[in-house]
Amino acid sequence: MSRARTFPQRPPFGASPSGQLVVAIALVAAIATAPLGRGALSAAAFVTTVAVIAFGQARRIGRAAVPMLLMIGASIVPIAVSSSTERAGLVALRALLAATTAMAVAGATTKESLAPALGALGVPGVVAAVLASALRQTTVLRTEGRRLLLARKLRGRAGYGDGAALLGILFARAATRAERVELAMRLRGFAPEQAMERMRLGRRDAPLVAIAGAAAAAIHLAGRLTP
Amino acid sequence: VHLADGIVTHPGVIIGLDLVGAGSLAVAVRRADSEDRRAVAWTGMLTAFLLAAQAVNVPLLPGTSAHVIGAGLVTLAVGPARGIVAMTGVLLVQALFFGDGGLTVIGINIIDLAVLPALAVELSARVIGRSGRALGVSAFVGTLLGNALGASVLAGTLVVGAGVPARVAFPWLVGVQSLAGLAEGVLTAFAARQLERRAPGLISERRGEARVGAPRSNGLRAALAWAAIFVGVATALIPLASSAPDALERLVPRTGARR
Repeated sequence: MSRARTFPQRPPFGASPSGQLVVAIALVAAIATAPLGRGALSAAAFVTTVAVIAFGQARRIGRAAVPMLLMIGASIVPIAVSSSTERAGLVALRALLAATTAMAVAGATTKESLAPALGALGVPGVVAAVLASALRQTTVLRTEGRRLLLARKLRGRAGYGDGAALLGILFARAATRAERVELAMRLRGFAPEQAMERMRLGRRDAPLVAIAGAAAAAIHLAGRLTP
Repeated sequence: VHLADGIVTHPGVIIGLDLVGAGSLAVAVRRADSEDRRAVAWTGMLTAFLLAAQAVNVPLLPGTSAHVIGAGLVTLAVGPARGIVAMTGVLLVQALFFGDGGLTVIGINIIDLAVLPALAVELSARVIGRSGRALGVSAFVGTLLGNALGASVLAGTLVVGAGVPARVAFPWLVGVQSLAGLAEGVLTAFAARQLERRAPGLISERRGEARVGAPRSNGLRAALAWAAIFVGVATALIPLASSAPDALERLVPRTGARR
C-alpha cells in the first residue's frame, strides 16, 4: 500500500528554497499586520488554505497543531482577560493563520536546503553553518540517545539522577560523532558557500514571489473594503 | 513562551525590538568564530539537542504548558556568543518548520529566548563561578533569572505593543515562566555538572571566548553580584505586585495635581 505524499516533489513554479522563504515571509507579514476585520481575516484564511493545498503540508500542520495552539494560547490569555473574548478570538485566529502559512510554505523546503537558503537570504554565515550542522546531527543525536536508553534498560537502571548522568554521556558521545561527521564532510570537499550559491534568488522565483505579493496586497485591500 | 505573529500590533514596537534583536545577534556573530569547525560542530550538536528538547511541552497550569529554553546549558558549554547563535538557529527552525514563534517578531523572540537567558547565565557564572558546585548553582540561578527576564520583556512588549494591562501581563507571563524556570534551572544544573564530570574538555573549551574580555576587578565583581541580586529580587516580586494604587497615585487626585 502506497502512502500519501506529505509534500510535492517540486514546489509551485519550481521556485527555489530561498524563493519559498521570501514568499513565506511576505505572506506571514501581510497576515500578521492585517486589520482585525471580517474582510481581511477571510482573505487571509483563503490565502492560507491555498498555500496549504499548493505546498501539500496539511498532514504536517495537523501534527503540529497542538503545540501551535498552546503557544498562541499562552500569549492570548492576557488579551482575553483584559479585553473582550471576541477580540482575543480574532487575534488568536490571525496568529493561527500566520503560523499555518509559515509552516505551509517554509515547511515545504527540505531539512538540507533550509540553512543554505537562509544563508543566501543574508542570515549570518555562522548562524547558517550552526543550523546546517544541527539539522544534520538530529539523526546522530537520536541514534546515540536510543543506544544509551537501551543500554540503561538492559542494566535495569532508572531514576532522575541516572537520567541526568545519561545526558552528560549523550553530550560527550554525540560531540565526538559530530566532530567526525564534520571532518568527513570537509574531506569529501563539501563547501557551505557552494550550497548557498545554488540557493540564490533567481528568475524562476519571480512568478511565485509576484503571486505572493498580490495575495499580500489583497489581504490588506480586503481589510480596507470590508472592515 | 514564544511570541506568535499577529499578536503585537504596534509597528514601532515590532520594528524597534526586531532591530534590537538583530543588533544583539550581530554582536554575537562577531564574537563567535565561524572558522573554528570544531566549535561549529559542537554548537550544532547542542542546537540539535535544543531542537529536540524544546519540542516537548509539559503542562504547567490549566490551559498552558511550558518547555525548556535551553540557553543556560548552551551558554555554559559554548559561551554566550555561540549560545545566542545556537538559540537563533533554533528559533528560525521553529518559526519556519513548526509554526512555533513568529517570523515578523523573530527579533523579539531572539531577545526574550536567546539574548537575555544567555546573558543571565553568563552573568551568574561570572559572579558565582563556573566549576564544581558553583557551576550547578550558577546554572540554576542564571536559568531562573533568564526565564524571568525574558518573560518580563515579553510582558512589557504585550503591554506597549498589544494594549494588555501591565497588571495582567506581568503576573501571568512572569509567573508561568518563573515556574518553568525553576524546573529548567534544576535540570540545567544537573546537566552542567554531569557534562563537567563526563566531558570536562568540552565545557572548558569555551574559556578562549571568555579571555576576550578584560580581567575583572573585585569591585566590578561585587557590583555585578549586587546588580544580579537586585534584578533577581525585583523580578521575583513582580508576580506579587499589587494592582492597588501606590501612595503617589492616591495623593494626586486629592491634591488636584495634573498628571
